[in-house]
Amino acid sequence: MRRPHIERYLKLSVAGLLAATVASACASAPSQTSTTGGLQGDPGNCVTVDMAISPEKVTVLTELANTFNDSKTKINGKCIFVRPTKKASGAAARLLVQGWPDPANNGPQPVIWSPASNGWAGVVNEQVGKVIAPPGTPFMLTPLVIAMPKPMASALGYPDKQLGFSDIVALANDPQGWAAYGHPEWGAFKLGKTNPNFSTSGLNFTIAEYYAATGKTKDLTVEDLQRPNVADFAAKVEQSVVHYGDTTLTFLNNWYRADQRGNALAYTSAVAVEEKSVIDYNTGNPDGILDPGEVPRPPRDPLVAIYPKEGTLFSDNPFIILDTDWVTDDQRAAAKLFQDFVQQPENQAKVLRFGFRPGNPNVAVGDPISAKNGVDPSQPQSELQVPQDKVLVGVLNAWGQQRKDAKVLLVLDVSGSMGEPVGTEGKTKLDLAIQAAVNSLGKFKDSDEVGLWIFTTDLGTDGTATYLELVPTAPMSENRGKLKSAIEQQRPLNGTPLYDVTKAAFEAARSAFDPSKINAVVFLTDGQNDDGDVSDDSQQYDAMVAALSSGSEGVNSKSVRVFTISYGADADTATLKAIAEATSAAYYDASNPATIDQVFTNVVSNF
Amino acid sequence: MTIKRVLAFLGAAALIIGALLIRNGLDDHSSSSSDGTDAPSGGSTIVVCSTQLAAVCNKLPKSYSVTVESAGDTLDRLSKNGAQPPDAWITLDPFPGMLDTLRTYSNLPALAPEVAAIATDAPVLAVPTARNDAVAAGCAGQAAWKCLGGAAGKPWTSLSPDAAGGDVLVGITDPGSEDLGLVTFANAVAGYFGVVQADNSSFQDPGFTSWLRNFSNNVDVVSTGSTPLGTLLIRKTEVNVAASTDSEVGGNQRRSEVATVAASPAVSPTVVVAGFTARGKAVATKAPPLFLAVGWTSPASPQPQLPAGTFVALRALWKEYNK
Repeated sequence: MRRPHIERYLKLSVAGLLAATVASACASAPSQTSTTGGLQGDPGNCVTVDMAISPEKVTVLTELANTFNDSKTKINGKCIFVRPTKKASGAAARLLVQGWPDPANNGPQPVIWSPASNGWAGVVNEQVGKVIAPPGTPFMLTPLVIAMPKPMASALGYPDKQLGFSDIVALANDPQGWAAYGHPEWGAFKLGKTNPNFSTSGLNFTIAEYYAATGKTKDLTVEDLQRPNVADFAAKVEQSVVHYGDTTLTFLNNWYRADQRGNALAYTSAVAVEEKSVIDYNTGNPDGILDPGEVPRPPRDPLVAIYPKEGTLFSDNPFIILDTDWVTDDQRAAAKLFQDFVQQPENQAKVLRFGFRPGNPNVAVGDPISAKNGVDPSQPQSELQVPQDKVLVGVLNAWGQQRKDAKVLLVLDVSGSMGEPVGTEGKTKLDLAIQAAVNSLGKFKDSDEVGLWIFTTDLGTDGTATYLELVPTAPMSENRGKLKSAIEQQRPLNGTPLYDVTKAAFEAARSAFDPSKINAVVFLTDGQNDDGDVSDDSQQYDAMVAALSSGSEGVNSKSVRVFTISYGADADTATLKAIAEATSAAYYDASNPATIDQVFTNVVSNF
Repeated sequence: MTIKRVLAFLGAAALIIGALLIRNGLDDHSSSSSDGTDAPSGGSTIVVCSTQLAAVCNKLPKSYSVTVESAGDTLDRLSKNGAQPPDAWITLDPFPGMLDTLRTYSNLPALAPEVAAIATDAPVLAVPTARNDAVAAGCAGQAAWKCLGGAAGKPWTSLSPDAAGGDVLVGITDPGSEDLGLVTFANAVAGYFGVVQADNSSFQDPGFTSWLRNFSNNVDVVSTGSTPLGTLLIRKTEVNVAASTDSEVGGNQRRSEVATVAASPAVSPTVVVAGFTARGKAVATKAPPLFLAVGWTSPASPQPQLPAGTFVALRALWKEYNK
């Protein structure tokens, strides 16, 4: 008897995927995942139904919750207040296994849980040893697709030719790149995919990649993964990756910004995302969240969704009413009423409006899931089978070996303000940053190359240097111990020459650029630019941004991504965002120093 | 003063003790009926309804207390010694007959409910309209279930070279626990043998066991709360051949998106009311309009027709292949 795929899904390595995803979600999110907003207030004395939902559907569920709350539906004479809170699926799973501790920091204990896929319920129940998350009814679905700018897809034969992973892989492995398709101006094929240890999209694409390598659509085995030709195939695909990361929104936002500059085709050629994201992008809302006053503007080069001919995988968004000791009978009954409300045809039409496929079989798939938005409601035609648990673990392990190498320069702020105390244990901001940086070293593989700079004012033998190269960039097999030792010896010193050092680090990384690796700078700072001379700050800023932008544009540019970490409450968030955006990287918020370890984990997920 | 205080204290204590004794006596009196058994649960008629029929059962008047349960669970519960039947059980034929068959196997007295058939439907297989040509080409001259059940898990191109890609994904409800699932399985088996009532001994036929092994290994048992047709409509990459009925397809607003193939020979799902009490038997007069309103039809015969023993064997067979 064939059980629904998803029931086997993700029961793998709670030690791997789950832990990593938890780390990802618990951390302060990268800038792309802004908070929800928009939920109207609890009128008081209501039965409150807290709902933990995966981030991509927060907008639609907030709207539905508001409508439901306004409907004055009652349970046992009491009003009902449904309150959705976004929580990454893996993070929520981990918290449920732990009994959802510390609601003040983790968010309220949920009555309803809606992860991206039903498989997470299996993970939780297996870990807890009883069913606290009964299988939920999917209320909206979205398949994994390969998003590609329309001109590029057309060059491959879209829409007349049915494309698949095999075509993408062939292009990725072709030394001529896009020139083989008559477009040398587009350079090499560049793939965007998220880290499968963090992201469901990344995991699904990686599974599909190994299926493509074997020519199978089901029954992938551990033995398959170990075949040299399969490993070679996967390594070649990974070689085309721009960078990884914990969320597809990083790619979509960067892509959109590049598009607005008329340069979308240079950033990346294809990204593995959910179908809904293609619709959001094409309607000018790449992260799916419209901030107040934001007016969506369609991109110059729209994306099209390629439904791989080999098959794909779905996110099925179940509605799970939890069976935990904190859920009261009234809350359970109220949650059921909200579930019924969500399944009503008129509300399923709203789900559709947000780009998800309805979970009510009476509601047909229609606009905006239509050709004008680059997607095809008649696709996909087939699904790939989710591999057995041990094979999934094997996929992650294999990917860990075959992923693209990274060449990373860590740039650490050791200015005086890093000596400020944090918490009650006598630690400083620098102490926590040192610990997080040291912990992150274990996440690099031996063939990754990592180096270390520190920066502050008055450095060097003559006191004029603004940074010091403490450990030259070299393979981690040689550098791991040196980096740990050097990082641990740091003490807070002087000022914060932010602009100069950012520019210098970027240029140093570009001069040592290795096209076979993900080239990046990780830049951590807690302050504003402070080099003792405010008179030239404006010039320095402009020079920095100009250098970053000019060095990052063009299909054949030596793309060095500068991932910035805004550390503590006083960091220059705007500048750090601008730095990340100028290099099509990502900005990470660690304004709460207690999150720095998790933020470092997220940053390293890009490699 | 001291004596007065002592008297006052004693008086107060006596009042409290007296009140507690009276209260205790009242509680004892109200907690059991005069014959020592639990008090009856009010005046409502207790109806157990199978999961697959719940949407209709829940439309019964509020004077009926409806409990929804999988027919398999009800069957297993009531077939045990000491089981207390409800007033009525709404399920598919021949589950009430299977109940007394199982009780007889266990040397238990039959509960012998009065069984009335109240509505029936035609079993069909639904496929996306785009797949209809492949079914017509690949299954010509064969019973639909034998053909599609045998193709389960295989590429559509094994049925027709011109078919679009993907595998034949057959969706059913669970024959081990759901009444409609078991009737569907009976249809599949009938389709294989070409007769409605196959001889139990033919279940050992090598050709059949091979067919059944492929069927049970590759069929998609949809989760409780959804139906194969619903799954097909929202995710045809999980189910693209759905066990369904005329009324379910006809009642769906997206019926134009699927084509149906009649199951033949057909084991028609027939709703029965098994009345265990006088008021339970009366349900058979209340429920029929509710089923007719959603597309079921009146049965040609008010009496159930299917052999309970065969269904007991079919259920055991399914469980044997899905341990």
